[in-house]
Amino acid sequence: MPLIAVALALVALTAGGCRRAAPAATVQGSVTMDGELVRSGRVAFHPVADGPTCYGNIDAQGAFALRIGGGGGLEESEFPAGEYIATVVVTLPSRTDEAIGEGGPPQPGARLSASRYAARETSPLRITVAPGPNVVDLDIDSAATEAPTEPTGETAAGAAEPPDEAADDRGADDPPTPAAAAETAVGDDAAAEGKPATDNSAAPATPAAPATPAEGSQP
Amino acid sequence: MRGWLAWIGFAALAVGCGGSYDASVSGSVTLDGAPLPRGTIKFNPLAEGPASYGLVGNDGSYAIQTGREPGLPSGDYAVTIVANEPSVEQDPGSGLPPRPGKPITPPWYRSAESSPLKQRVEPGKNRIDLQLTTQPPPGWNPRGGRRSR
Repeated sequence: MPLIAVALALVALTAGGCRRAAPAATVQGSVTMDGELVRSGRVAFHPVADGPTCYGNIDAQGAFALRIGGGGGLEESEFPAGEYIATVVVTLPSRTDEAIGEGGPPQPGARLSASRYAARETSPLRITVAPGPNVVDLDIDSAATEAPTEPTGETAAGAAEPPDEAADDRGADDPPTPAAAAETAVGDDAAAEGKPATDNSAAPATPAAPATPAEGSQP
Repeated sequence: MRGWLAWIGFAALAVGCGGSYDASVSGSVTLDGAPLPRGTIKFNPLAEGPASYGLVGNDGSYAIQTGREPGLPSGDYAVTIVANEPSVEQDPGSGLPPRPGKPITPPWYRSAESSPLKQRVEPGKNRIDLQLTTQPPPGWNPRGGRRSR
């Protein structure tokens, strides 16, 4: 009987995820864009120092969990606690209707989120991942809210429409430049909302060269 | 036998500390009495901690989750709601992202500071029906009421 008990306890310890020794962390969270949960896309956490980059797909409820490596599995991974820069790309759901005829993989949907969140060099989302389970909310702006000075064809056209009342209504005080927009995101959204359960979090980040378009990093 | 039971209890504790929350919230959302057909509900904790979210279904129903886990911690929350019309497709084949749709929900429901919806979530199951109105709350100031800076 004691053997069974010990075996049970071992199973519980290894399967349960209640580890307090190593500074290991898990991250899950939600992604909202212009205040609404998104339905499809991808999140990555890039370590500021050394370490693995972690990825998570955004599910139909706007939620994600991070794992090491790019596989499609649903399980979250443990990875080192510390400072990370989060990148987010929100896409239209895949066009499965087009893929079925061709037998290829589904076409990725168009990018909906602002380009600055797509590259770690420009993303204003700096996240402190605490040891243990973390819940991180990421609230980002859509591509339609980007300043209309983007040079590349794709974003220029996307931003050509001046922000309409949808953007107005969210209370963004009309960020006139990408730099100001990045600051807004850091000061408001990231600091207020991009926090893990444990409080010390999305420390204000210096907006890094926000004028650089992030298109190049999105194949 | 007693030791065995203790081990079971310990195992349950060890498994339980990974994730689940002590409360759940579900309910319905109406705007001027009609079910809200879409949108996002956010429970902003008044204490420290992450926010919890729920998508509004076609019939105005919702259920709150935190990250990928169902439920949320019990406590006091400011509830915010954002619903927009479906986004507007651009020219097919242009590769342009759709433009966001027009807002459905009034602006004072969009930020925790201005939302009049404050809710206490008790441990266990909570049913919370949210009744929104297009009448501004007292003291609503369209220019200053959105965010405290």
